[in-house]
Amino acid sequence: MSIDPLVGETDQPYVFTNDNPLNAEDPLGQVYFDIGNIDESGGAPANFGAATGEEPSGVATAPPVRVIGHYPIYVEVAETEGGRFFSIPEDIYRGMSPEEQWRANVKFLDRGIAKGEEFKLATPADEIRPGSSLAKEVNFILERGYEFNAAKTALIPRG
Amino acid sequence: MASSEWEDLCDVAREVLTKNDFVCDDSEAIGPMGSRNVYFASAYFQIALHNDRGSSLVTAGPVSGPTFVWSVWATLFDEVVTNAKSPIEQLNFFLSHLVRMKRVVSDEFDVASKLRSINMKELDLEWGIDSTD
Repeated sequence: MSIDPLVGETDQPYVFTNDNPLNAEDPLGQVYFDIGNIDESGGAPANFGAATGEEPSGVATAPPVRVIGHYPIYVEVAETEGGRFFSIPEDIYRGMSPEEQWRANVKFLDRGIAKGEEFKLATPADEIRPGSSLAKEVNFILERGYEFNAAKTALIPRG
Repeated sequence: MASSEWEDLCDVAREVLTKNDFVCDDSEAIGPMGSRNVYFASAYFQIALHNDRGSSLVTAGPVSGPTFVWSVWATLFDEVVTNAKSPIEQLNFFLSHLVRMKRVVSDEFDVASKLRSINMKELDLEWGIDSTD
């Protein structure tokens, strides 16, 4: 985890993550993605305490799962059962073009795919709305070597 | 869909559906990236507007449980599903089928299961979901 390069001007080392570095990431260097209750690295960053003056307490050790679904169920499942989910502050998201929004979404998906993580379906498979953002996400993941598990509750790496 | 378009969709739905005895419930909190659901309930079924990360959809279903997109209802009505529809066109589809929807929800046993089954078939055509069995 790195601190904001503008810390000298802002005195806020993690402002790019909305001052919530354990639960968020900033792959584009512009905005943060709320990734639920676990740190992207799987543990507390070495410089966390020194940089913020806080103890890195409450770091969960949940399995590497990303939660996707229709709103609001994917947020509820991620928060109650643990797991990363895609989120960008509304005001920033509105300022992005549709292409930038999808690129940011893809970044979230690609990180999970690169690690072979499971994508938990907060929405039952037979309730996915064709043409929805969720359907687009599922399509993207399936095209990259994933398949539905037998219970159709998650997308898992094929084979 | 830009936020003003979403608001326009909500305004149109509010105006037209309340005239048709639907009660609006827009009390749900706004979620990440402005995601939001607005529901319109009648005595027989509900119509829902979904703003999911800036992408909007209109769905309908029985008074409780999941709701389904227009193409699923069109298949239930044995109508041909061709071009995609904009959110306003989706709303218009449901508005033009209100009487038929009321009848089918009232008369047919377990419409929810039929809609779910049609939805699954639509997804299966694209993803081969059932092949994982």
